[in-house]
Amino acid sequence: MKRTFLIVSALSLIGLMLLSSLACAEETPPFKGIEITIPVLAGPSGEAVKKLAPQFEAISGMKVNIEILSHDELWKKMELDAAAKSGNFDAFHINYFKLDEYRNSGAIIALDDFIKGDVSPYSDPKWDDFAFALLKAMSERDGKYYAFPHMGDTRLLWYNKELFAKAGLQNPPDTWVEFTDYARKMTTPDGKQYGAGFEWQKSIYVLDMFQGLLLENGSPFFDENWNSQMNSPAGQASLQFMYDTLNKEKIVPPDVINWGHTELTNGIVTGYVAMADQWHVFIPQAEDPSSSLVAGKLGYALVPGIKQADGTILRRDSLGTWGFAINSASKNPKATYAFLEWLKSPEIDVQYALMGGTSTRVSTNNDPRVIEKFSFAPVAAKSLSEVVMPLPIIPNFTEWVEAAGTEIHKGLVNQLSVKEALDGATDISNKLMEKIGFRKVK
Amino acid sequence: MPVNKKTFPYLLLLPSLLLILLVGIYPLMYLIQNSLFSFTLIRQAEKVFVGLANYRDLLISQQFWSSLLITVIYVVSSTFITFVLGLGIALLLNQGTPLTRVFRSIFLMPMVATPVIVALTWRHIWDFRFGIMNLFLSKVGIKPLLWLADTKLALLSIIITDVWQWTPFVILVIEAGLVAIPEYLYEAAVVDGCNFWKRFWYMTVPHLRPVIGLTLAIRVMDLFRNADLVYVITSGGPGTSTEVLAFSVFKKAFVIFQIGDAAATAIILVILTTFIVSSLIKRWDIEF
Amino acid sequence: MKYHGKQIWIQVIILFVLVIFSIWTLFPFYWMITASFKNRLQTFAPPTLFFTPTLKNYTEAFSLYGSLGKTFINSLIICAVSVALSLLLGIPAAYALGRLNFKGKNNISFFILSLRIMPPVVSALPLYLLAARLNMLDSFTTIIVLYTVFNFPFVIWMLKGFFLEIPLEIEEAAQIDGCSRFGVIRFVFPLISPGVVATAIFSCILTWNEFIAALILTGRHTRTVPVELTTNITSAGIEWGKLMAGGTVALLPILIISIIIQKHLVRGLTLGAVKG
Repeated sequence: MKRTFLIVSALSLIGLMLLSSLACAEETPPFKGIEITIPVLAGPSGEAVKKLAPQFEAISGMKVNIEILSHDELWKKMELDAAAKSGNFDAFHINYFKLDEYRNSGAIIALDDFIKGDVSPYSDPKWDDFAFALLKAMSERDGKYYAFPHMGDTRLLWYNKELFAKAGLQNPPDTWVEFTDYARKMTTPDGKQYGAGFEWQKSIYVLDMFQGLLLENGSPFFDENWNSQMNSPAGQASLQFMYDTLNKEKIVPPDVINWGHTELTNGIVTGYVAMADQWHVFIPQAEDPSSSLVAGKLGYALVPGIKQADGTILRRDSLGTWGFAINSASKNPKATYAFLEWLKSPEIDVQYALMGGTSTRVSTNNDPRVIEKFSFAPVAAKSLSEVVMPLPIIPNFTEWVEAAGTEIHKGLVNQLSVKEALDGATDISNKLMEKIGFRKVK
Repeated sequence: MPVNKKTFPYLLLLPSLLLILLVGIYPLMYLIQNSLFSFTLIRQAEKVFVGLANYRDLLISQQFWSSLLITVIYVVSSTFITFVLGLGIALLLNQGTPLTRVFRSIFLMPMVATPVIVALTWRHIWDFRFGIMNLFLSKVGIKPLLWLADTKLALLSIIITDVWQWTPFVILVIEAGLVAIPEYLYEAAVVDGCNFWKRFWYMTVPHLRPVIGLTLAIRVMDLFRNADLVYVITSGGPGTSTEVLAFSVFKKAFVIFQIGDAAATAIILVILTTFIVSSLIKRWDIEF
Repeated sequence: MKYHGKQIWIQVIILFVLVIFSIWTLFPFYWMITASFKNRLQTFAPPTLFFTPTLKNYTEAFSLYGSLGKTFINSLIICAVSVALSLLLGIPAAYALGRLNFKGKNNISFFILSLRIMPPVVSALPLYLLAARLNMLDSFTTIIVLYTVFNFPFVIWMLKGFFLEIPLEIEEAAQIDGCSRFGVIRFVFPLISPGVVATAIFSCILTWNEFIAALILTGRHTRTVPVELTTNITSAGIEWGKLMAGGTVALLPILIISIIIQKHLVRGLTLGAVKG
């Protein structure tokens, strides 16, 4: 009797366990237990991703390692990972001009199969909601999507309203002529305050500004046959303007040629410069009284432009966008896709934006919660849709940007004359375009 | 293998040499091989054999020769200044002061501190607006200088930083060499009526010869191969005014990822350094 | 150079010059340490002598994702194992080079020293690819082996000098007493133990501070302190306070040990040359 009881109860226990495990299996999320590692650029957007990841871990049962890396470390690690196909990272966090280098080398995979296969139960990607220009630059190649646009950054003209009022000025400048004029008024002879600040460090920084001016002066970097237009009259006017601003007008601090994001933000938040052509992602930092002396005193406007023959003002500046692409050596591409899709889904993207990340979604940038928290959001959205232009999308972008950006820099710092620098940059650009077969040698 | 008198030394050296072959020689072989190819890191599957074209392109490029000139200026002046300053201070320290131990501890600090942090600290020290250098200049009534933003001053700033970091090392090594010179020699010389310079020239220098040679060799080697300071403080700028060869190698390998080109530059740098260091060693009779 | 009965004013001048040079050597540390007690705005205001200190950088540096504490442990493990290994392999090698005569001795010596001629950047790249092929990325083994070899030139060089210092008669006595060849090394070892300590500390300094190879070859699990510190350089700016707080904490332990053994440390660097 005792024995039968034992057997029965044991059997029923096993049955119960089986049943419950079956029930569990039905509800087990598809990627439970999988571990993925995603590298992210250190900064406000990266920290937002790090804070969001645990939410996804909770619903999916996955383990998501977000590795925050400094700019230099990020590129080295990703490039080495891609070269060795080691698959340590399941996704790459790259910017748009690197997309082709990664795509052509087979380091990343197209997302279309996942999109069509609807692999993720958690979200709807809503691809048509990403800002069109960003999607074009950051993801779409030959009709396929290769990356989730993640950060959408644009430069705005930050201006110190208090210093403007002191100089008897009201509105931000609309053209570079006005800009120079205003900056003169706000530059003090003792060197304690300058009218404006830029980030004119070597390579891409200086090239960003140069491209804006070049386009406003009516010329792209390359003509349709990939001949460099850098030493065209438009190019001359552009670099000459930068040179004069620094060396003749002296309305910017004399060391702006070494300035990057850090120095420029510090310049404006300490009241050292009255205007700054700076990325909008750093605005929350400037509005935080614990790290800024000018919190609440700044205004944000579209960058100045050049008056065209028809009287309109053409404004151009460089686009900044980063995205997530899936590593072709990843052992869990589907799970990675599921996480990225969730991360960039409309509702999570709003949370991300509220944490200070810069969004690539039209719906997020127009979301009332976002606008309420960040009053500059509409200007940024306008700039993203009307002002920004990507740098030339070419497969050997890194080499070109470094070479051309260094030549232009030489012209700014008097190592070469403006003309010599532009000729040098043109020459190098043409050679590099020949090397990749874009430019035909006659 | 029987352990006899002949094989014993090699047996002792074997484990070290094997590891060195793996970690030291493998990279060198990789560099030599890949300097003959043209490719970017991420597309290493599509290597193109170009023979000596990387070397040719390098030797005809203006940038290479300007980098070489900058490197030579950097290495020679840094070595010279650290050496002269270090020798002078070491001689003073060797006179024996009540605080010798304290001074030695202080001089250890730059050697011990993390180089990345040191370099970042110095970048801040040279800053045009916030830097201590310009604050100091303004206190003595001199207009602030564009230390890192002026093509003529940037290399000087790097050299001064290097002098700060490595003079203490030279002091400590030379001072240790001075301590090893037997004191009775000096006492005899004083009795014989030799003056300070004669003692220095005929007794101190010959005794220090191997130490001096060692110090010079280490300094020259480190200056040629390390680009940390340049990387952190100026990134080779403004323009290309501080782009030393080691930084070119770094830039080619890890900024634009042109591995073939980087390898060729590295090989030239290694040949150059080996040549200079081995002639230094010969000249100063250092036994290794 | 010493002679007795120096005049007071000469001593005062010497002391004065040394003090000036010490101030020059110390002032960046002054800036570094004060920056670690400043808030963001203070580090980017023109420098002042007095300010209200904050401990926030230290608390934040060590709580930020809790990773700096972990990297300290990583650094300790890597440092301890690689230094121990380089001594284990380096002592016999140094003994051979310092004490024994054999063919090719000078060439081998120069060969070992010439490891220091390769720019570290370029040796790290092929090693990464090799480690990737062996599936040994982000592993303690890889970085430890690498550092062991990085340490060889100095370990062998310093220990060789210490071996040379021991009178040959002691060793001969040991041999007469019937010690085997390996036995002799065991016999001599206690005599050079101060030298071994000095060498260990010196290798520790090099290992603890190494950056480029660590940046490339370590990963999430094996990251070392210098690499972790640079994550304070973000796209939004350099967190000077946190960077310097971490830098200060990283500096202290190794500085204190070096000061304690300063005499042996420095002597070790020159012995090889002096006695060579």
